[in-house]
Amino acid sequence: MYLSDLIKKPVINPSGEKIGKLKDVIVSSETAYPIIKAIMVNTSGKTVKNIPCNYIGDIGKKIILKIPINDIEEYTILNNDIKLIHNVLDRQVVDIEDKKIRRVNDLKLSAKNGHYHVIGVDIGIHGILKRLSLTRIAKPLGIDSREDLISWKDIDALNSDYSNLKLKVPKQKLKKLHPADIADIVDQLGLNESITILNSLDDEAAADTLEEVSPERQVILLEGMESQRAAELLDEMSPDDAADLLADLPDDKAEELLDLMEPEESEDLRKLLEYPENTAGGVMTTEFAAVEEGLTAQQVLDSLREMAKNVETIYYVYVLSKNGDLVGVVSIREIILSDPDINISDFMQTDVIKVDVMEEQHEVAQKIAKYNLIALPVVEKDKIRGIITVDDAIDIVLPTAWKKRVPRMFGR
Amino acid sequence: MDYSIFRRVFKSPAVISFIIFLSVMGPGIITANVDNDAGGITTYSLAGSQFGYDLLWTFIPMIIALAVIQEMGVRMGIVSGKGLADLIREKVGIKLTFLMMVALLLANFGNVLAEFSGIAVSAGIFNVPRFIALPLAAFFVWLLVVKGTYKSVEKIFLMASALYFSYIIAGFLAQPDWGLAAQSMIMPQISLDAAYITMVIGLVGTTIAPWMMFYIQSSVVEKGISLKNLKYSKMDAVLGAIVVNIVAFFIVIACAATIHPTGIQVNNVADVSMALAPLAGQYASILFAFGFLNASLFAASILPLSTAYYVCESLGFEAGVSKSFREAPVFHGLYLGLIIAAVIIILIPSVPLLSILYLSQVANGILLPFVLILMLLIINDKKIMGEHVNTKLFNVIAVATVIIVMGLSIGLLVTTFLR
Repeated sequence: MYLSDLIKKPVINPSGEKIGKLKDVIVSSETAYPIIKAIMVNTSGKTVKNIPCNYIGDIGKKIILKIPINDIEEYTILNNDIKLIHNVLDRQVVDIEDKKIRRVNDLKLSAKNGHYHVIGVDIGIHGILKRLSLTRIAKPLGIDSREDLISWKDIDALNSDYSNLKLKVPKQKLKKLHPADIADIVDQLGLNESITILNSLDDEAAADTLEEVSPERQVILLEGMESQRAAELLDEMSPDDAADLLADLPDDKAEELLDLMEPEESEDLRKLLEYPENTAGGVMTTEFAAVEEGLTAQQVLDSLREMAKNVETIYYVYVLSKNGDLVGVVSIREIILSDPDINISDFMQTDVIKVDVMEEQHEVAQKIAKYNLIALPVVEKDKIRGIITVDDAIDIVLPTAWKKRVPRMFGR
Repeated sequence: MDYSIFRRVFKSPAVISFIIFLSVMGPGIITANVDNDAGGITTYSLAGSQFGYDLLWTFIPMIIALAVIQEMGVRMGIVSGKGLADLIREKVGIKLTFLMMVALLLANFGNVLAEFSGIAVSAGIFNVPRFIALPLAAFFVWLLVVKGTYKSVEKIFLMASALYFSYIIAGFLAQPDWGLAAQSMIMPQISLDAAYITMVIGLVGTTIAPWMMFYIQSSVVEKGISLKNLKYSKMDAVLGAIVVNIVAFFIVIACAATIHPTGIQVNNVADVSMALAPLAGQYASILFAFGFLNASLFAASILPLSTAYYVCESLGFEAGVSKSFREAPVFHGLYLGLIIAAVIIILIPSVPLLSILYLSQVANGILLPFVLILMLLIINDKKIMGEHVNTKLFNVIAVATVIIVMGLSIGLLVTTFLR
């Protein structure tokens, strides 16, 4: 059975008297395949009645009730109930399996263990023809008459009502996707829906997603959401991405967000923002692992455990002299392979490959490629200011827009 | 050297506003200018040639109506983040949407035909055979779409918009009677003559077209303009409405000043261009023809693709030029189909072009009120627009436009059947 079969179906009392027409179908969103809880009926008396499902006797050409409508206790709609026609039919949903936005042409319902369940959404041509009562022309036109179903467990509904913007809609299924995939979906959606999705994720996941969204949209999203939340997301983002994003914002907005952020993070960002966008200083991150010289390999490993939480890559540990100059680098592999009691100064690379903060970014990318590095330190007068990791170097050579390569022009 | 003066200039609120406006500008101006397409220019030049300055008054109400309608589209796009076709589907369901899309497809196919016939006509003026010009134009359109991104294409379109100034220059070269023109704008001479009314319908129909509502909204969404910059986008929409009508005004003026007094019978833009040469000078004639080529190409690039997008997206088919034919067969089928069919039809000798173009205008006129009514339903829906629902004044102007356009369309149908 399809939802489209039920639309405007007459509802009648056991006595055969017509009460009204079906307006909507209410399901509970709690189970994997939502159970139909009640039907909304537009009665002849111009009121709307919610009739619980267990009073429905037979669904055929008409919906026949088991007892007269006046004896029925109405169903109260709960917060996370879904109205299928109003909230789902004709709307866009996220197809989790294919990570795409789809439009719902119809819904497939099925009876099981005495309940009616929603089992999937139809996204195919057949669903459209059915809604248009044009199924007869499908065969002559050579249109495949099979349904194109996505199982309900593989979709996530998008609630895009402007007024409900601030509601945190639980998007359990979406959360299971990789942030880059969520970002792809966010890129395809309107502002409201995108913000609803970001708001349903925790700060860390939302920040990871935001990092992967195309730069133009990042700006729009950040401007569109509440400042406090925007500042929290910036806190969570890696400093280089956050700085790039802030640089694209209008000055007063950037300033407002910086003031709302954790002082520590915003201080780092302010420093980063001083470097021109296309220089090493502009693309570097300030989160790296560094130790003072004179420690043993074991001591370095111990302090790494402490640092690891806050740094982008721990593969290289940079060694600083007493007055803070960059004097050497060791890889984690070298530390592990060495005798724990040996001083790192004895086996560190003293000939550090590095770039100046003002070096042009493409030169940086080339250097990383040439020496096969995972990260490259950025210095200003021998003092280390940050590092550029290999994934940021890839972003320099292949900007986000290219990586995704979607030359969309007019529609969405 | 002291740069602080520059820095201060760039920090001044007025300059910042202007820079934001420049970054937001595009959708409104481009949409309005695409509207001055082959059909539009033909209608305007015929209006000037046949009725002189008499019809100039229509531009003032048309600017207001167009500005209001474009602004509504921009606002809906920015607030909802969705295209018009999407909103219609979500508001009224698939049946009405489907009917609307079929009608839009037919009307737009008529318009695409008009653009390609415009290319054929302007190629004729420059003595290029149409069997060379048309495939070349189709290739250009394809290239632009397949190789372009919104950003680069928008720049090309903005440049093409600037080329419409050729009409303003042509208008000046024709040395019109400015006093008489001003007088007819302020004190309209309205006639109930059938030919006069038909021409008014033609002017309104070509200036406010259904596809524009879909296009402007999608391009605002595509450009991703934030709610904060809504006011700049509104300015873009209003400016576009003014610019398009100024260009149209000069086309009418050029023909009114030169061709109308002589009583020469002109039937299309090639005639107009030819007639302009001895009267307003060769440059005016060349500028006129060049503007026509630009306009036809411009619209021929936008119409087929945007049509394919609306139809596919609102009905839930895969859409996008980056997708392969196998992934998005309906989209590619529609897009290529519109272009190829148009080129083939125009290449057929003795095809009744004028009737086709006329019919497409009728389709436009009949469709427009329905699109406007749906727009009004959506833009007054608090669930979609929040605090940005229409004001009373906007509703009044939009409703008045619906009624007038509907009245005119019915009038057109009646006069067509009575003839």
